[in-house]
Amino acid sequence: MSDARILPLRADCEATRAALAALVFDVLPSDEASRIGAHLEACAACRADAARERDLASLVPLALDAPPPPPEVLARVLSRIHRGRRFGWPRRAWVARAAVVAVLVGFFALTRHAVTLEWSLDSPDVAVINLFAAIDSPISSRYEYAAEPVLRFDRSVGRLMVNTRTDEWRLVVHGLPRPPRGGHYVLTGTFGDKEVSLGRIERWEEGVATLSGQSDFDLLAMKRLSLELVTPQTRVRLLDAVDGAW
Amino acid sequence: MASPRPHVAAPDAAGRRVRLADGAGGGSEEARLLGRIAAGDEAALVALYARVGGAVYATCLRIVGDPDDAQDATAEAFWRFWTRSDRFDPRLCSATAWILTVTRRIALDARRSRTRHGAALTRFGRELDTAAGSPEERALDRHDVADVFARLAPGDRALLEAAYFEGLSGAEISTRDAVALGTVKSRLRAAMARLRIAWGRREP
Repeated sequence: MSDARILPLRADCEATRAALAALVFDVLPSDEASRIGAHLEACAACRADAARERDLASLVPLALDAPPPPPEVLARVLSRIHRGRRFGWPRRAWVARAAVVAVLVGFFALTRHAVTLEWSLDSPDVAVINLFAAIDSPISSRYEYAAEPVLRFDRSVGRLMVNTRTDEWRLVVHGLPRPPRGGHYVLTGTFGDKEVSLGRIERWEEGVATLSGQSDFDLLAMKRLSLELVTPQTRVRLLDAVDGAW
Repeated sequence: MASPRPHVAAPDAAGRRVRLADGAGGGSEEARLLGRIAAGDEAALVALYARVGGAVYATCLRIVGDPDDAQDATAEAFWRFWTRSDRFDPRLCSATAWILTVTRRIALDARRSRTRHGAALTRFGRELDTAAGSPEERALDRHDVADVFARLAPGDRALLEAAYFEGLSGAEISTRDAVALGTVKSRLRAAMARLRIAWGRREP
């Protein structure tokens, strides 16, 4: 038995298909969009056509090219997720490890553009390069989380000590938690135009991560110090410290 | 009617170009990631960012025009993916289309909000030229979706971009272009039909 409430009229299908392009670009008047929407609810064939039309429309933004978004954007989202979890969101299997990443990314990536490096001689043989973070976080005030307090960092992130006689060095970073399973931190220094891997951070003790080594390069001539978290899924630059006065 | 199956090279979060294999339905990697995100898997969100972060950011940048605002909108989009990915229905569109539709609406809202606050949209529209790279760069990959767009008639391309990125209603486009609303709809339909043909010819 034919029932117009269940079986859409062919004329409705034709009208709907004629309007699909306008529908997916949101240019239909609201009453017409409602009518088309009601038809799509009832008509699987037109719904499939609408899906194809939406897929086709998604090519429009995909034709764009742009610089990649900086990792701070991801860090902000993860940080927000982590704060939300403290208020009782569901905990899932992956969350414990991912939360560690969220805390880490949320802290270090936010400080990425603001870490300053200073060095001083603690003794005739030992130079200390301090990593300070002193910024207001770039958390947006434009969206629904505008009520959140602005985060302010004004603390030491860590320091790099160099024996100027032997070129032995030791990096200490505070508050750097153990990476998730399968992940590790990679430290990279920039000397002139060269990027040199200084090694992985593999030692933790009471919240302090240390890395030691001996460099063939003049560490005091280092222009940039980067710390990256590398996991099987991603590679995120957490700390990118540059200091013109260094 | 030929069914387009987008295989789109878009910049990923690291600036490389990635292939977004997607089609209507839930079988793509993006669809699987959305499913994991709905279950609270943060690692899936990170993976999604690596896959589509570049496309999301490009969309936001094109719509809002300002890099800082684009970053805000991108963060908001990924927050929305985190909180609302359970609303993705693979029967209604592909995961990529859902992701970009959510992104578009957030970016349009951000731009409208900024407009309401009186900020001038001085840079709107310029970012595409800046971000798209030179024609020579884009021509290096003949299978790129940008190449398909480059081969569309300028009028079709302008109409599709205006409809997608400017967020004007049909009535507003009708007024702006001094044509009837029905003409706007039929032109859009024709432009989409030609895009479908161009996309279909591009596929092997």
